[in-house]
Parts: sequence; structure tokens; C-alpha cells
Amino acid sequence: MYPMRLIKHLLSVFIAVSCGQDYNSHSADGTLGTGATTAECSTSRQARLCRARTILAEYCYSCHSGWAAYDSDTDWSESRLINLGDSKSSRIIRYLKNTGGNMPLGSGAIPEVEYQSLLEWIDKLGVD
Amino acid sequence: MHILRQLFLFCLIGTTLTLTMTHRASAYPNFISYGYYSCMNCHYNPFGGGPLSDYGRAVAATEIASRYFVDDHITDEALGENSSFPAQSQLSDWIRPALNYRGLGLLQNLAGEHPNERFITMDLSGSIVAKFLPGDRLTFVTQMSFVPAPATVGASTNTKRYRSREFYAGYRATKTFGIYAGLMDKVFGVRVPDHIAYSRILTALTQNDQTHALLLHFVDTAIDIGIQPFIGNLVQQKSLRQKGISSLAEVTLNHSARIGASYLQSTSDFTTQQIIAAHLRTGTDQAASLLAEIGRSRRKIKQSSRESLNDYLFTQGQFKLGRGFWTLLTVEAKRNLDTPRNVTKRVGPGLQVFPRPNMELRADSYFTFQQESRKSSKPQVDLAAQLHLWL
Repeated sequence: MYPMRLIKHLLSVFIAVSCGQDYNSHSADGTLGTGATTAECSTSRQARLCRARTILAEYCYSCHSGWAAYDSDTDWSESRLINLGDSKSSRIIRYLKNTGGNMPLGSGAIPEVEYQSLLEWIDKLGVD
Repeated sequence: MHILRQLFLFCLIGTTLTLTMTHRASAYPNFISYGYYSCMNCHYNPFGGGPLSDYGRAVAATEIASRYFVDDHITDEALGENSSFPAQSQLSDWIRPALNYRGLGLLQNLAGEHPNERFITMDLSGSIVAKFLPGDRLTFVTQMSFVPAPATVGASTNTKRYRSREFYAGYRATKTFGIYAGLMDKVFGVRVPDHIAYSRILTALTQNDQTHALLLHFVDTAIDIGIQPFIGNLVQQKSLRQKGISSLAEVTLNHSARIGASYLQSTSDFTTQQIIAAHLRTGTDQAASLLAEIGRSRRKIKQSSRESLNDYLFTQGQFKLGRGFWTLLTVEAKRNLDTPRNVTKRVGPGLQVFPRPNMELRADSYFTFQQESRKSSKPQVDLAAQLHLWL
């Protein structure tokens, strides 16, 4: 005979409960269409960051969702993905298809205008 | 001729050849070539994935796996009887534990300036199925996985290293109708284990995209229908949860082929998504199978009112070299309709070996081409090797 009390307890537990990591294909959806969730875009430096985040959200965040949390130049510098003032040596640039890398995966190279915006953002960091 | 039309023609020719060559087709959807139309033959989940049933374990041990490392005096019947979890005989008959491991070695961009290599633990999970009533009509399925923080998220002490993958109750009211409730995969298209497939990525239906849902399932010999309203993964931040409905209908064409159609619509605070797809599964004489899925995904970003429309095509042929030894050929394509002349194509020959029960080895190569206005780029070359173990 099956323990009926056990079945009832299992029924109540199994229908609703789950736990643990919640990362999935939609984890970065909150950054789409904005580029910046907390940073303002009023100064030229902030505007370059906002523009860069919009581009990265478009082409990168669907896989690299953790980058959405970097909403300041300091965050990006500490991530070691960029080298202040030197775009061509920055990891995030070196891995792009625009420079011979393989990113973004499964898509073409980032359009030239947007690629240049990323270079400008990094090159002008630490300058103004 | 447009690349999608070329690939569709490939599918049509392949299907025609397969269907005309069959006289009988008798775990993975590829095993329709053994006559297993319905995923319920081998899985507790009516649309596949998750823990294998007793019958599914026995099939894996006696029909799929090689006997190369098995002593001749051990019969297939004995292999089937011993296919259960090692400690099963000490447990109550209503409980079924299982362990599962998948490791992936990846060499990416071999032909590029910055090749990289890494090893990924795709899955390290344990599951328990509790089953009651005659015919196992009432089941409780749970699967928990150890999950390293995704490389794309980056190291963070806040990222949990485990997750629930399945956590649902199922009741078969009759042989033809069942109802399931809890955390499970979404019902859509062909549920292939190729997590990088365009049919899985563009539809956001990868191995982490489970949802809390109610699944209504109707099945008989001619048809399989699933209707699944869902409310997102309740562990996830509320604003990110995709809520909506998914449905799949599959019809038996003849003794060796099934065609199906799927529709999914969902919305969160940030995006809405709508996907339609058609698919085919066909197999022949335990020797070969063909899977094909073609679909269109529409995603709208609410904050910017921007809409992204993507088409995809997935085809996979599996061809038997001998018991336990298979070759695979995966051909895919995708394009974003904002730039319709830009098409990404990927060809992936591979080898799949089941050297013994409870083990799978798989090696795949991927050649990815970017085609822009009829000019193809040099292919990106990636290699993957996979080890899959289960108890």
C-alpha cells in the first residue's frame, strides 16, 4: 500500500517548489533597449558609456548576461575586459570578429559604426 | 537559389528517400528509427528529456548500446534487467533514483587568430522519480543539478552552483490523457539535446529554460498533442519571467514518420515572444533517422518598441554504422530578417558512440559560414567532444 500522507505531501511540494540558480535565456532581458539601467547619459563620457552598453546589450548580453551588471566605467575596468585608453589591446575588442576573433558567436561582425563607437569609448577612458 | 530554399530541398529529398526505402520502422528523438514515435516510450516526461523510465533504461542497454565490452555469456535480457540504478533492489518499488553526468571539451575558432579551449560541465544531476498506482499513472519527478556559474555571467559569490531542472507531478487519467504540473521544459518543436542548435537558442529553449507550467497531454497512435500554459520560473526575478502558452501537435504520417507543428507566445515586463515551427521526425529499419525543424521567432523589446524577427532551420541525420555506433550530420541555418541577405549556416558532422550501457561518447565538428549577399566567409571551425555517463 502506498503511504497516502506521503503522496499528499509530495503533491503539495512538487507542484510549486524549485530552487537554486535562475540564469536562463531571459536573464539579460532587463537591459534590452536601454543600454544603461542606472548610469545617466548627460556628459560626453557618460554618453559614450551609454552608447557602448546599448551596443553590447544588442550583440553580447544574450550570452554574456553578467556584463549587464557593469554600469560604470569603473566596473568595466575592474572586469579586466577593457584596458583604459587602449581599445586594441582590450579583450572585449580582441575577441570580436571585427578584429579576427570569433565573437559574437553565430552572428556576423558588429557593424562598423557601432564597432567604432566601442573603440572610442575605451580609447577615451582615462583621458577625460 | 536562396540558402533556406536549398536546405528545404535537401530535407524534402532526404525525407522522400527515407520514406520510400522503409518497410518498417520499428531516448533521443533520433531513435524514432526503432519505432519509438512517442517520447513516453522511454521518458516519464511525455515530450522527452529528464529521467528515463524502466523501459527506457532497458532500451538503452539492449538496443542502443554496443556489446563490444560486454561478455558474450551475458544476454541482452540480463542487460535489460540490470539496467536500473545500482542500489535499486534495496529500495521500495515505487522510487527510482538516477545520476547523470555530461562533460564537454570545446576547441573554438581553430582557424582564427584567437582559438580558445575550455572544458564545461554541462550537467551533473541527480533525479528521483516516485511512481504510484497501477501502470505508474501517478508520478512525481524531481531533478537537481550541480551547475557551475556560466562563463558568461562571470565569477560571483552570489551565483548559486545548483538548480532545479524538473520538479513536477504527473497524472495519467487514461491511457490517452495526462496532466502535469510543476517545473518542466517548455513543449515546442523537437527536443534535441544539442543545446547550441539554432532551434534551441533562437527560441530560448535551452537546458536552463524550464518554466512552472501546467501541461495537458493527449496521445494515441495517430496523434500527440500538448497544451502548456506557463508562468515562468518562479525562482527568477518576477519582471524577467516569461508567461504565456506553448502548444505542440504531432501526427503520424505512416509507420515511419511523424510531422508536427508548434506555437509559443509569451511575455515579460521587458519582452514579448512569438514562435511558430513545423517539424518532421522520420526513421528507417533501426538504421537511420532524420529530424528537421523550421521556424520563425519574433521578439519585441517593449522599452524600445524594436522587433527582431529570426528564421531558423535545423536538420539532423543519424546513420547507424553498427550497434552502438552512429554518425551524425547536422545542417542548420539562421537569418535575421532585418538583414535578410545575411545568413549563418552551420554544418556539423559527428560521431556518436555508446560503447557500453550507461555511457555515451560524442565528437562533433562545426563549420560555421557567414553568407552576406551570396558571398560566404571563411568558415569558423569548432570541435567538441562529449562524455555522458548515467546510472
